[in-house]
Amino acid sequence: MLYVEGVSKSYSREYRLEQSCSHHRVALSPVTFSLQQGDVLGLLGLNGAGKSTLLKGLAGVFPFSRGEVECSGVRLGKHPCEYRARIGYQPERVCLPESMTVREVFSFLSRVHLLRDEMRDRRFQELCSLLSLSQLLDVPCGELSKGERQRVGFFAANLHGPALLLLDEPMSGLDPRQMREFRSFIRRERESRITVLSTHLLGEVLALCNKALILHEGRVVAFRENLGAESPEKLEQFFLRLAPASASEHGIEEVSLDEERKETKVVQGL
Amino acid sequence: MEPLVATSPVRCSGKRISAFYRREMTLWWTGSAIYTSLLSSLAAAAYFFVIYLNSFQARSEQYRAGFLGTIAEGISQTGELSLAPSLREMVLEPYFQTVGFLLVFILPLWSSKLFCEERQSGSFDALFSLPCTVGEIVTAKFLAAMTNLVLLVTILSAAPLFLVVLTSQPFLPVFFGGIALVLLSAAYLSLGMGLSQVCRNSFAFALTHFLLLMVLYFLPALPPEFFFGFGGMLRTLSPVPYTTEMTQGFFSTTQLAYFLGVSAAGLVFAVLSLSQERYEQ
Repeated sequence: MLYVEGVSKSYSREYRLEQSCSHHRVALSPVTFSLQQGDVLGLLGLNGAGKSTLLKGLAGVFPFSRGEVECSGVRLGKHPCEYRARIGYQPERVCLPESMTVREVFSFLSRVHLLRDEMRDRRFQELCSLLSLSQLLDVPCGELSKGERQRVGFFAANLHGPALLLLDEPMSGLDPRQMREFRSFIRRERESRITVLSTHLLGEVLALCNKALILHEGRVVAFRENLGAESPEKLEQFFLRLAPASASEHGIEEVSLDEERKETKVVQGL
Repeated sequence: MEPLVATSPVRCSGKRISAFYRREMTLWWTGSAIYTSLLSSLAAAAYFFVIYLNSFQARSEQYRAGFLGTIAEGISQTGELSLAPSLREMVLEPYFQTVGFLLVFILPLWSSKLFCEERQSGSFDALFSLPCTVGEIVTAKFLAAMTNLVLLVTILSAAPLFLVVLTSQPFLPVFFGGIALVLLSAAYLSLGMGLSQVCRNSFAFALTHFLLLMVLYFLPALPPEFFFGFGGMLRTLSPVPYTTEMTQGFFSTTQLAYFLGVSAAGLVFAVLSLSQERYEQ
């Protein structure tokens, strides 16, 4: 189980420097939800909604300003290392040491995660064949394309068989064949873990997720379950209705100001 | 699904440090920085070694020729008649002190590689999501850099060692000289790691670190009466007098305490500043 209890993130110091006042810039207002093993949660929201902040906090990259997270009975605040041993995180921008080969990166990660040799080798072969990475193993990371980096990042997040898999825009840069491999992998392994997926692709959310959390300006505006019954159009309309203000700025709907108002009205009328 | 984690990660700090250490070593030896600094420092050290050796040879020839001027000069300086030029005083001591000064130029480049490049490439996010503490990351980075520095010092000590063996001189000054350089490197490096939060840009960081080391290097030049008599106290902050004593063959716990204290302070500050950076992300 994953329990997320009132987690929030604010940046006080930076704001004080800019504004010289006691206010905080709130990146994430308190968020609370829980997920069970086998759940795949789609995180939706416009750019700057707080999706990546929530994922980074859940991954333990930084501590939340308030709130607590518990995964498989381990609290992030109390036992951060033990908690992070249970998660796999693929950041939005997969940064790999340019001069190291893919194989060296995986060896490093398996050592940090203290994997047994035989299990590491088995998992290594399994993932390599599933994600078509065998040919890339001896390539320096600096020579990888964006799609290849994404696949390596996805592999790295899955290497230790995490109980909680956090994926930030994992499909950007993937070609259709790689996207299909990615989807089948998520479906194949979903029962053994909890997956949280941040994406702008509503179709992917419908195809992979059974739950969706919609964020807007750092706040949760909706938490939907049983997504399987939704149609893509209905989800899109629902999403635009909840976050309509800057939809056109972020390329979701190319409309003029008048059209945007009309569109907003239509959506609100649903 | 069968769990893949072999043992409790919390109890395996050493293994994680070892994993990070290997990663750091791979990064060092697949980049060009280490080869450039090894070659350039080797060339500079060789140049100065030859100069000091030539000077020693010239003085020895003068001594052997028995010039009265040399004897008179020797008496006036030492008050004794044992005027044979000393290899330790004319070659080994100045050589190790010069290499100590070269470290002021090399260490800022090395320490900027440790954190600034990592920060600029954005790989801290990935590192911070791994099951390890900031202390483990800092320790592994420090140990990897120190391994390379010990290698550098060993290479740079090879020529004096060879000279000592050939001339049947005491081995101790070379040994202490090498130890002094290793301790000096540790202090300089940890100071740089402690500064890592100050500048994000690697060039600005290297410059700041270089200026700090230059200030420390030239502190002994301050007159004792400087700034209401604080000059004498400020001079004790410089590593140079301690290094000089060691290259002369004197070794005391004060020197060891100074170098270990500075190194520990730098590392603790590095851990604190990196933890703060993590909090402010």
